[in-house]
Amino acid sequence: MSGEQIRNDIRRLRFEHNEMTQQELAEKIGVTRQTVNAIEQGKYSPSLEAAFRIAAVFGVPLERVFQYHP
Amino acid sequence: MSFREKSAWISLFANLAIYGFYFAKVGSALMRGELDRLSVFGLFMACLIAFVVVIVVLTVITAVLAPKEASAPADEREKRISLRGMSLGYFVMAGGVVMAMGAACFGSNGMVIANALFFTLVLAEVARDGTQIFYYRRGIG
Repeated sequence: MSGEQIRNDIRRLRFEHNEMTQQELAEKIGVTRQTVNAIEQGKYSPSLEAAFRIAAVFGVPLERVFQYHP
Repeated sequence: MSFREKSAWISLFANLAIYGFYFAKVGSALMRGELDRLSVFGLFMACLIAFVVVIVVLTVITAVLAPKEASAPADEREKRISLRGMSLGYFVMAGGVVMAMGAACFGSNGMVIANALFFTLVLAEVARDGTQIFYYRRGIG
């Protein structure tokens, strides 16, 4: 599954942003809490648009949130 | 568990329990050669009403427990999972319709063909719900 190749630092970024909850992040990017959880666990690769929205919430470049490991 | 995953479980449960009962009854009547049109129609209507009632009641209870989630539109992951389920359900349905056509060409009576088509519809729904639950549990890449 592609989710195994794309890793992310969302858990750490949430922690660094006042321990933002999955629910808070979900509301900011317009998805459900379960979807944020699936993204964090690598069970779902989000669309490019959602990925950019996550990066924008944390105010960091996309590659700081997601890393591709071929 | 998300509202939409719960909805898929409710649909799977209702399809298997209610229409499983229906096809067990119709199947045993068919084996005995006692497939009576009126009693089958009565059983079909009773099961259809029971199905609608079970789906509505359980969905309303689920929505009341999580009103915000229930009223929110499906997000991109939920839409993708829904599409995977619909896609598999479509192929199951198409296969069933072709088999029912084959049965019609080889002389099965109308009652058997109608039930074969209905069985195909239920099987397609079970395939759709099962696929959605699978991707909700395992994840979708």
